[in-house]
Amino acid sequence: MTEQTPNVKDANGGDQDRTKLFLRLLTAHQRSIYLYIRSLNANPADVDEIQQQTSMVLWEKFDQFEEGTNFKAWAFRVARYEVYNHRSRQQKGGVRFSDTLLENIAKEAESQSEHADDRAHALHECLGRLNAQDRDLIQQRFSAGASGQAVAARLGRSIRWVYKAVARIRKQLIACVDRKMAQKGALNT
Amino acid sequence: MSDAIDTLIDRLCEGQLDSAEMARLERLVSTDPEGMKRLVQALQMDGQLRWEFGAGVGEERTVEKPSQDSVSPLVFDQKWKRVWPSRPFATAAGLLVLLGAGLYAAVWMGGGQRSGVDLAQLEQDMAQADGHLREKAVARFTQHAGLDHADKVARILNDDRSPFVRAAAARGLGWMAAYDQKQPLLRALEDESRMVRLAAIDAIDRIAGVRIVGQQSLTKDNRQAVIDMLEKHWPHVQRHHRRKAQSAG
Repeated sequence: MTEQTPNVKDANGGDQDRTKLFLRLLTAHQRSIYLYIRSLNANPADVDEIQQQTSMVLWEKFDQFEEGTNFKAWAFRVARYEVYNHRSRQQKGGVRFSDTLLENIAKEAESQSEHADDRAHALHECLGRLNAQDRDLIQQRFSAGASGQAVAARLGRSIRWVYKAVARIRKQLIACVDRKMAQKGALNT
Repeated sequence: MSDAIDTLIDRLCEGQLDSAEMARLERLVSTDPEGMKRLVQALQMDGQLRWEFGAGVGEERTVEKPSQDSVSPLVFDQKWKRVWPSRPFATAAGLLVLLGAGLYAAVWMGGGQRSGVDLAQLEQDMAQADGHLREKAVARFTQHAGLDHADKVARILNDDRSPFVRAAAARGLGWMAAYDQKQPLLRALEDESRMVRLAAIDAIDRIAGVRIVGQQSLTKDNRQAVIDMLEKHWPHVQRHHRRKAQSAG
């Protein structure tokens, strides 16, 4: 058994250092890129595909990336472009953000992503503070393949009840994260 | 107006918004910066929860028979197959399948740096209350500590309350090639946090040379079958690593 990375080497013209750099950067920013793409899409079902395409393009164009510059900002630009590409490939129909709204959301999302790691940590603390019923509901609702309808059927509740409960918990989590971020900011000043 | 925006945001996050409502939401947030901020916060929270609990990318990862003699895994997921059904593995797409799934053995294992790091200090940091500090300490510790420290990392993987720290511990066991930590890693495949489950898969990939390709999705339903397969394969992994250690020694 030997350490082989045939795909890495082939795909990157044999430049292992560059590949390592790319892997490190992509891994470090994967979640932020996913959240950014989610923000730009009215339909969550499109997000996975756009993220995969974005990763692909980032790799293909990685020779244009200058080490020491801001990888996340570059990745966000590529992601935004891929969101537009995805929209243009899709048939008309279904709700989508207008181009103007999308640009405004992009600015706000970039600004919010500056503290993404801290917010993610805060969210985990906040999830830990949910009561068992709310936590279970959130976990069921956001599990792979779950729909509001399926969760409602499983719980013996109406779909409306599920939507309202999820919305309430989401607001609760946002407020909790904001409080924790404010506390952290206060501690740091 | 605030209530109206919130109602529309809730409907958007659930995929229930129609075109007229979307136009209304757009009008409302275009003149209300606070409303715009709440819209993005809600979408990002929706994304965070999808990411964390598995509705996002990567959950449909699959496991098949381990390769004979490669430590580097080939990782694939069903969605990639859908997007690029005919591309061979040795393309950039193939590479990015690997990247999309997470980390990779060659990046961190090659160097084997073991010097100039205060492990005692890192151990102290791993016991601090601040989850961020613990996560960083675990990541550094596992890059520099030897296999004789793997038990400590396994305890963190099992016991730490933060999924970030548990995920760092799982990844770290992979970096350490901790082939004697099968049970904590298999338990981590059932961790409530998706992030920890994926980190455990990455670690197992690195240690076992398991190929994660496209036959069985690693879902709640078939997780046990995957665990059984790994249980069966693990003695071979241990023998391999021991032989490797002996020949190196």
